[in-house]
Amino acid sequence: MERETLKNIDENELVPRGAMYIEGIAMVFEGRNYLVIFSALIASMFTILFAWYWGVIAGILSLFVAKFFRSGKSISHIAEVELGEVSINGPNLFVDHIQMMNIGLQQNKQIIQKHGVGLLIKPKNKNAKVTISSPGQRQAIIHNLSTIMGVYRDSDEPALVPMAKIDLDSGNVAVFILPREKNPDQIIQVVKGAPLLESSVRLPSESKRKGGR
Amino acid sequence: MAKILAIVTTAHQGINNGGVPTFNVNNKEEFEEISLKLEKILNATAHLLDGETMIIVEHHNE
Repeated sequence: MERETLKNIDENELVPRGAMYIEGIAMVFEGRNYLVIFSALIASMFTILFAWYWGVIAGILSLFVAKFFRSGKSISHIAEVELGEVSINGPNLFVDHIQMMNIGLQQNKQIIQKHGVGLLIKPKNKNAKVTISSPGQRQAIIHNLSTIMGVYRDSDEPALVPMAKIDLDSGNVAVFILPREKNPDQIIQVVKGAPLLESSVRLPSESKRKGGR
Repeated sequence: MAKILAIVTTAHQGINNGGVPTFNVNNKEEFEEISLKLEKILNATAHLLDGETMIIVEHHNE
């Protein structure tokens, strides 16, 4: 149900969520249904087997268990986020030394110089490097950032679209965005709080331990 | 995949028309103006190839 709704809404977003984020939300939603069933089962089981007040106590305890399972991870668990320097060299736009795109028009260059903010996401380990390189995960970060901070662009203006590019050597991800609210500290916090999508999590180090299986 | 929708150039000799509308302009001001208009009309992105040639590109993932 929520999958359909989000897909329909996504078509009219300035910066779309992307299919992976939508699947992630839908999966969490389904998971929460099971937690509700679990809490109900525990509470009613204790009520029938023992006395009614045991049912109340077990119900409250099951809520804590559900809360533990409900909490997902965010970008701050796998990576450091810091501000990156936005520079324009000829027609090329860079965040630190990572090339983002080629900007042809002077007008767009001026907008970018005035409003552009660059961020650098540095993965903490090699698992994080593979996870953060997933395009769906990067799109989720950009979407979160643009919904919370706003985005300085109209529809049908692909030149000002926010983007995230990866530095193949270091595995760092550079994010470029034109926010409505240019508050660097808040922007960093928003990126750190972006959800880690379950379907993008990869654990190459675990695979090695099990002999590549 | 991206697609070139139009080319704006001041280098009249350098471009062989390969099925893409090519706009030959005479000076820098015209170059910027025509490119800006085309970018807005075509809902595409203008990319500078060299100092004299601008390509208007449609990116399909946006």
